[in-house]
Amino acid sequence: MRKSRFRFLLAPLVVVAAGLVAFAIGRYAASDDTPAIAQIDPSGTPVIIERTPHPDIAAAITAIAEDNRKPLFIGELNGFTFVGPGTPFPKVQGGCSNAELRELNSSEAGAAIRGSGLDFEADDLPSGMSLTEETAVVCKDEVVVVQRVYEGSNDRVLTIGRARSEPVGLAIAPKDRLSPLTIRGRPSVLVVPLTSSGTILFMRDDEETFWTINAERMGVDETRQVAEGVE
Amino acid sequence: MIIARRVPYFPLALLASIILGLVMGSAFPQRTQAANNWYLWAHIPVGASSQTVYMNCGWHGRCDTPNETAGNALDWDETDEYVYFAGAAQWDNWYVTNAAYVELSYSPTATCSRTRAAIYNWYTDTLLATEYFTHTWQYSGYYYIQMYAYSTPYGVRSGAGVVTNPELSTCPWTGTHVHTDGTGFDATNTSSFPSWGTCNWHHCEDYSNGTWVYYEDWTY
Repeated sequence: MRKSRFRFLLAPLVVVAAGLVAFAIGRYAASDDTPAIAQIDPSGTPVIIERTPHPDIAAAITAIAEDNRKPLFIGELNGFTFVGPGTPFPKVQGGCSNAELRELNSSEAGAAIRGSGLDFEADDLPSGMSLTEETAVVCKDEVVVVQRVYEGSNDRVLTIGRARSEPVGLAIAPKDRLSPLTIRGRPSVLVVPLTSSGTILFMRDDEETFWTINAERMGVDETRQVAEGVE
Repeated sequence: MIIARRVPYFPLALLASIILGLVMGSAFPQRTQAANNWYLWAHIPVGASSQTVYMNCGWHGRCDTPNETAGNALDWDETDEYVYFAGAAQWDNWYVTNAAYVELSYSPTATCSRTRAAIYNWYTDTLLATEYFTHTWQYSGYYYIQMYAYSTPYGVRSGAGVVTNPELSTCPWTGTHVHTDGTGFDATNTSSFPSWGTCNWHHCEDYSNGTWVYYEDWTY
């Protein structure tokens, strides 16, 4: 009688416990962290277990692989020339070579920029962005490039530069990612980004200056808005 | 004559319970990954493994004298045109797995050509750090590298671009070199970096001493 009651209580407990243990084993076996025994290399070579990336990274990898199949555009678009490596660039206004140019650091650059015809206002920056660096490049004491860097939240870095040079740059994207635009009457080329890492825009104006806007971690609309606001 | 056979309820129930447990367990796998510590190194000399790449300017913003010690950039000479992203990652586990996604893109400024290596957490797409290679061009526009981690530093070295020569006409450029700097790394060794003249890639590529290069660690 006693033995029978014991069995009556113990048997369901054993069944339930076995089920719970099996559940835990099944859960662990199917988890991402499970060492795959079959993959252990007896030679001691580290075992590589590939794990799924964040969906945005997976999408970026696919987009980059597809983009890499297309050649970079070399040629003229909307008045801008894109060249391959090894091609000489037309000299800046004033005729200085690279070695003859002199870079002024932030402490010297501010006054030089304000006294030059290349100074600009950036009226429509995204909120929270503030100036962190100013650079000027001079040729024979004349400022030929000005550049300002602004930084904001979410790793945004905005570099706006203006140069007295021909609108010639290195090839940067296939033709289908180069979008010719006109921004406040200024011919431009937008480099359509593949990922969320940033947007680049080139612009030229009737003062024969060449603008480069490099907006890290900023989208197309924000970058266009910045370009609309610079003068 | 009818022989009554007893049904083996207990073994059957036990078997059913085990099968059900396994099926249910595998249907709801453990997804909450325990937090691991991840360590990442980058910003080391950017040459091929067979190449000797000397540092030719110490930590600087603008290199006025070769043995500069203040600033966040280093200059390296290149014995050929290729520039490499190099780094390593480590985590607290026994196998090698994905740690970070490095997106390389051509990212010029108004003065000089430049390639950017943006390093993202493989699992969350969070930007961890950025390394810039000035005077460099990315020959495919975009490119990506995967960084793997192991219980000891697991290195990666992959093409990041080519040295731009000639440079853009707006770039104050003297001598073929690559200027590297980084943001988003917590620890740098700007004060006790080895003598600029002796730091070639053999000496600098020592992951075991994270203070020799830009270094960061995360828990995720």
